[in-house]
Amino acid sequence: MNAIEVRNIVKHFGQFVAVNGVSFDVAAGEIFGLLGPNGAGKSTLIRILTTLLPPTSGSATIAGFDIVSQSHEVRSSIGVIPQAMTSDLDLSVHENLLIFAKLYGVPRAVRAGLIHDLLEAVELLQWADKPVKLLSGGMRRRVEIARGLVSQPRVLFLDEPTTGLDPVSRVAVWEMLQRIKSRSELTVLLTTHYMDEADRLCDRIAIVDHGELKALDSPMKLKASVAGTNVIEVSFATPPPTWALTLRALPEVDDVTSEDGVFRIRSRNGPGTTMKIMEAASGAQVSVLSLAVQSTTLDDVFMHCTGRALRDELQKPDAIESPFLVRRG
Amino acid sequence: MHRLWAIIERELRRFRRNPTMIVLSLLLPIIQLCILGYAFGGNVKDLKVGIVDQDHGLQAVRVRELAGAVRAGARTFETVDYADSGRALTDLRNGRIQAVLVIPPDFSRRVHQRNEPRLALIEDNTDSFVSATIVAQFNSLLSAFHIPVPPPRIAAQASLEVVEIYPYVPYVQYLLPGSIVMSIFTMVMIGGGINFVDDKAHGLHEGYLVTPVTRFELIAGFNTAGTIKAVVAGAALVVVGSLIAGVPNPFDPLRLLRLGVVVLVTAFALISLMFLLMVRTSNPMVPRAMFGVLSTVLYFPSGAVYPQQGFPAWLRAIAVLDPFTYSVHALRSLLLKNTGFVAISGDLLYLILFSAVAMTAATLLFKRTL
Repeated sequence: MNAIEVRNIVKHFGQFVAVNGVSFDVAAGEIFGLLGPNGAGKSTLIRILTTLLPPTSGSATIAGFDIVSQSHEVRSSIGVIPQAMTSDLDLSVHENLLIFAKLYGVPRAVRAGLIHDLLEAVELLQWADKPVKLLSGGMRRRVEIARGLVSQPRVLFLDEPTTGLDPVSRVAVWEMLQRIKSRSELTVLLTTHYMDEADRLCDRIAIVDHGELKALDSPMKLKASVAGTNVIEVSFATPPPTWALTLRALPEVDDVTSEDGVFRIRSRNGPGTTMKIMEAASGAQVSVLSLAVQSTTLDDVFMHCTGRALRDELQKPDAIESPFLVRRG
Repeated sequence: MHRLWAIIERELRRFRRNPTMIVLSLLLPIIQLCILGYAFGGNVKDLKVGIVDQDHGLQAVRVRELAGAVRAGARTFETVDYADSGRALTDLRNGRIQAVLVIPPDFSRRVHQRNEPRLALIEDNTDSFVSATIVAQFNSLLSAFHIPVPPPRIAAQASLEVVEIYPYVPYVQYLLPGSIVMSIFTMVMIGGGINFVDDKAHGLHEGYLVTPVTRFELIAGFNTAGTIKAVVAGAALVVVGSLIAGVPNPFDPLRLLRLGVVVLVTAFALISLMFLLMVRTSNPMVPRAMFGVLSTVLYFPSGAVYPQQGFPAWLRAIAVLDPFTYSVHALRSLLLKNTGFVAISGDLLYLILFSAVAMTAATLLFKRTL
């Protein structure tokens, strides 16, 4: 049985369509990622699946329970780590977990042992009695992860679990999630706009843009689906105006884009195309300033699916990024 | 039920970690009690009254002696003698003195002839409290002036003997019930409304909503926790305020028990009102802005600082609906008259009905989703 089944979910906020007919299944024990920029509809979708928002139309089941007609059973089966850090700053790490264990109805007999094990798993045992306000951002995120697991859920939802964390804390959170996942038959659905996060953590990824599913597969297959196995980023001293066309005409080149003087060339043969570029530059007496060859990334996949670079989308100001609005992602 | 207790436990643990919140909610009503209680409660003293004696007769001297005696007794005013009324009136306009008593040239003669003797009191009526005090003092002074020595066996005129059934109530004690209700209200605002909307804005409610906690448990949890916090504030003010205001026998156990009931019912009524106002609010500025408006709209019409009998009709209409009115009346009955439940049953009934209506409306408006 699939842990999550989503069928044609639509969500309108007035005239605005946040989610537009999304369908997918997540198998039990899978880590599934929703990848997309801010405002793509990821957080709205996660809020629908965790019963926080009713869908306008469509249906979904979590652990076999319908999100609308069996919402109480859904809530009893899931753990949720919201995007905003919502631990009580005035309470200690232990108290935060204790209150949520009680809210989930964890029996008194197993409560203490469970909280101890979770604090050990997120490496916060020695901080158990400290108020959360004294912890760093990365540690607070680990408190939230432990809190999300205190109900011993069958399905865990994480909404942008490493947003706002420094690179070291991000890697620590990834390792923690992988460790927890390896110990239990947990199904995980996470949203992210970090390519490396989705690539490293997820068994399968759904690329979401403007409330629609653009692609869905494993990271390897998604990358393989994009024409060109390599991307060559090269910059030249004084390229002639028709230089992009020259590069596009080289053998085994599928696509050429340029931005800020950097040409991004997709090729089915990285080393061969690199040689050809050097030869063409030499022939035209154009100096090469820099050259880098890289494998296809999920960013390339995103660009292939949406026509835009995800990293550019993330630079745009998020008009509805406000703590007082619930409609996000 | 354990989920309901988890919500209450969480709120109370946070409450305990925030001594600033507790101090703030007690500080305002205590300051108000001290400042208002002693600013408005005292008698006006040390005024200056100019006397222009144009008579210089025996009766004029009696009047001046009686006026001079006020200086030694109640100290309401001291007298300043003026030779001419023009100078006295100039000083009155310039604020050096607050009134001028003119004893006309034929005053003593008219007294002897019993021919409507008159004195003129010219006063600065821009301050109604001061002018009313001076008039009252001179009326009392003239009563003394009329008493014949020795008094007749049978009084010629009807007189009024005033009997006060309670000991003298200083204004600070009169103000205390309003301050207790204000402490409950302040805690309801800070520990209830502001806390509720802040938690909502910071996503803490989202944390609750994804757990299997029911709608009833959420509503009951928030309101029970809010009521407990408000009762703590109210009870603290009952004790501290009674000591500050000098309420006689403040720790009478039976009265404390009755006060506890009124504090509890008031706390629940006000938390119900707050929940109704905040149930659909998500902007943290709203409860903060509402705090000032509500405290004025609820506190002053309640009769906490001035008798409602002096209000115009529209203000009385607000007072009739205002839950503060009934709490202040009930607390005043218990604190100043030491009455039983019979005297305050109407107040308790209104507060319970008010709570029921507000809580029902809020419950209907409460959403289990975002």
